[in-house]
Amino acid sequence: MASTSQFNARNASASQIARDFVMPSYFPEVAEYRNIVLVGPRGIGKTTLLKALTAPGLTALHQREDLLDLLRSIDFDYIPIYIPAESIWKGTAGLVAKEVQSIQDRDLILGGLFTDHCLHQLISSFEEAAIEADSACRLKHPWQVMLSNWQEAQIAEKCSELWKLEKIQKSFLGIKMQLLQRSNIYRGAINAGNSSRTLDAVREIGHLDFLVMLKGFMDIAQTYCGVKRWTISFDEMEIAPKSILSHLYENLRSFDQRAALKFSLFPYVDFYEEQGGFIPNPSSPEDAQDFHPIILSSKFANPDYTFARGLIRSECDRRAVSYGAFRQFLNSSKAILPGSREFTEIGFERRPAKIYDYAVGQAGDLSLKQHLATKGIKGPQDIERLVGEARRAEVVRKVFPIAEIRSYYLVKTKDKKFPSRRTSAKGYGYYHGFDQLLALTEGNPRAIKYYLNDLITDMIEGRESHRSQNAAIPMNVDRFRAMVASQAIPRDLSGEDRSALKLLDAMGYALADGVLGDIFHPEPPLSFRIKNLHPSLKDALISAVNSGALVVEQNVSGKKLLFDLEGCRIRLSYRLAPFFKLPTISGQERLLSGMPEIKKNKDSQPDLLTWANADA
Amino acid sequence: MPDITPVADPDKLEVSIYIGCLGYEHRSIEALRSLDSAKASKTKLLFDYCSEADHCYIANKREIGKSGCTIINDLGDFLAQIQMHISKEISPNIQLDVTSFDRKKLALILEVLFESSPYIGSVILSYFPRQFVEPSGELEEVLEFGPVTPRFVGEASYERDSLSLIVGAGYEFGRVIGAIDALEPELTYCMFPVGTDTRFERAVARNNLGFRFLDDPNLLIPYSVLNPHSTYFAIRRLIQVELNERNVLVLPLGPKIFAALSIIIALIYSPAVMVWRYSTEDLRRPNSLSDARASGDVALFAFTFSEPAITKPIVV
Repeated sequence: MASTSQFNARNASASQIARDFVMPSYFPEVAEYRNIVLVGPRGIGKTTLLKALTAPGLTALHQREDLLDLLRSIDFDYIPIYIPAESIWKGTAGLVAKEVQSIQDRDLILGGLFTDHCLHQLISSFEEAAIEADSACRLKHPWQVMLSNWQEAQIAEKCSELWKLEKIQKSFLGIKMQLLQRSNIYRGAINAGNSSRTLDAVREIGHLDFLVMLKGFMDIAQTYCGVKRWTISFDEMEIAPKSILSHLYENLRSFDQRAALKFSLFPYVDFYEEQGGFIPNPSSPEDAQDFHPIILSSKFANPDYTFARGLIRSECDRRAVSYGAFRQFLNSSKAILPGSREFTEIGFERRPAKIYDYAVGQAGDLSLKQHLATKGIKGPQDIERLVGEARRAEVVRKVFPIAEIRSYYLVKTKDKKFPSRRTSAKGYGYYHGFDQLLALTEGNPRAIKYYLNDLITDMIEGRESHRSQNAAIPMNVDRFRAMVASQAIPRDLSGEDRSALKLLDAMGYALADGVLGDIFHPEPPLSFRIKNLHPSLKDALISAVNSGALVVEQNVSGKKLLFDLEGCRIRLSYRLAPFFKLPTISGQERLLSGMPEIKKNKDSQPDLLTWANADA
Repeated sequence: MPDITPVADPDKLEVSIYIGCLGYEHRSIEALRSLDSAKASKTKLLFDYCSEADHCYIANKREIGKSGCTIINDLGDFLAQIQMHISKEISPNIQLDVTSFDRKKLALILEVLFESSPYIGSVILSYFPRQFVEPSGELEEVLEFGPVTPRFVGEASYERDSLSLIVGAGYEFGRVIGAIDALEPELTYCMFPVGTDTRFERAVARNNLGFRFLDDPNLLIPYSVLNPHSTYFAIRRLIQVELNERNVLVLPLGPKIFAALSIIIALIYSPAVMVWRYSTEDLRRPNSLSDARASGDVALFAFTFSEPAITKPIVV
């Protein structure tokens, strides 16, 4: 079994990524020579895409015969530069903000660190694209460039001057060493407090502008190697300092005809704020006009799991397991109420008559019974007799998704006033099955791989399906919650606890009250519309959106990038649904202005912490 | 930075300067209750956390009222006092009780000791494990996640372009996996505290290891909380090997003795090794704090300063 650290594209080489690459439908859009903004939360596949588009990635992709037809139609006539962010930046920037009092010094340090990192990556990417001119090799691909020792020396020398390096270098290695050394001066300045020689050294270097230096590099490379087209991919740039990010974003409008910029960003654009909100100005880039946005975030409703299925198929192949057998393994869980779902090639259909039996007969859901009675349904036999599309939609399609989850998580009581109550059962039968796995992962490749890692192993080892899924679901939910909790967000001085996780829990419990309450609601609220949001919740909400814990309906404003949450409709990610016992469907909306109030005691929620023994 | 040489029999050293803290945990002054060396020290410097409203702070303060401690609540002043007392003595033996210090202050104090190393005879670390209390099992929100102090921001090196995370596991639910998902290291080593209370060990395992984040079972390295001497060498060996290939970030969750040893090794290799902290406690939110009483065990580790390490990894 693989460890889950292997599912992170950050640590995989471009050729490794290309070898296992499952090509999404939007790949040609991402690859083409134009400005692109890739938007999506963690794990959605942004790094995988951008690494596949590096020189070694493209070379490895073109060695796969199964992809050649697809790749043939794409214009790869550019030298790809890939600039990843470093995961430690956020923590380092937080420290700099606390320790370095002068804003100017702070900007110099963070800007310098960022610029030198980018320049280092620029040289590394160029080296990856280079074919030694003195070797017998010839250029095979348009993303490669011939480079002689003399050309390298010339470029290195010119770059040393342009990039204000301490000593003139004659090789790329020398350049990189110098950049690292300068980078350590910036690090030293963080340590030096606010008045030291190290800080003076930083002031002496002065402001470094990566884009100016990049343009200069393109000029030099054009002069000596004839390179005319570039793509510059900035990956995970949300970790970069906001002021720099905002500057880069501005340049989407008119950077340089010779380069297409590609950004990967979190869903909410929080680096581009003026006086607390996005105010367009004449220099602001416009989506569709200055860049092409590609939204990889989870779909609010009507998701398309084609790519997710492809990924699962590929993973099954890799582990020598039949895709069909794996689907069957998940769908055969004993924890799925027998006969309540009919599995087909394209998914499953609910069997409403059977669900009626379970909900009313076993779970004591008299409220559902009463609701259906008002529609003329007195028992399961009446459901079977329903005719007409409109009638079936009214009675079956709206009602039974909710009736189904209630049938799992309500139990019959002897109390005449409250004939059913919420159960604290630790099983997750409602979430079992192949299609529920697609929903629970929201099509997020990393989440899919986390689940598959355990589920396929269990299948191979002959573990029972329901036990396997009952262990995997809460473990993955907890892992996702732990990731959300680890996103440190600034607190206001009032000390009010407005963390992302607290907010998500309040939202989830509030929705669960509507779904699993004493009164059956055929269309309970399962989403929120943000209106007059209390300012203290803003950071928590943004953090939740950017970590993928909240999914935003994308078509609200017409703009593809999200600059303001006011007025947006959001729902909890289905990745969290088992924690609150929420259905994996979108529903009605309710308003979100402040922290939602929870009616029920949260003790009635599932205790995920026992997942290790959750074999029920 | 100087290297250190561990010293055998730390309990036999006479202490002239004791450094500790006055906090809300009952065990924060345990050294002054139970260690003769601490009680007998000529100078006793206590950092005052001023947490009047929390747990045992008031009782602790009353208890040490007549013990001749100098209590200081300003951190800058406290560090200056440490330096001043070191300079006044001839090669003093210093005892630092790490039990209840937060990681940031612990790092700052150790930085001061390293900077004053030519004037110090030896340093003795003491740590009092807590009586076991079942952890809440709830995820705690992270307030800060970053380098413990500016000295630990790390350095850029040509040989190292990926990240190795060495995490000292604690029993807080999901904290290790949260860090892994935030930092996305290429390799994670999990150092697992053993030897104090089997219930503690079970809680650490339950709240961390089930997430299956290790590439290889060999990356789980048990260490003895009560044998800091061997723990010191285990961490040091690991860091030294990893530094040859990757950037090393140590995240010392769990017992503070692990944090202290990690910080000391990071100072020896400074500035190559990053040490981060993952703070979830907030004095403005008292329910995020919990009292802790000493279990009766004590871990001691003593060292003297020596010439800087010769076999440091290659760095630019």
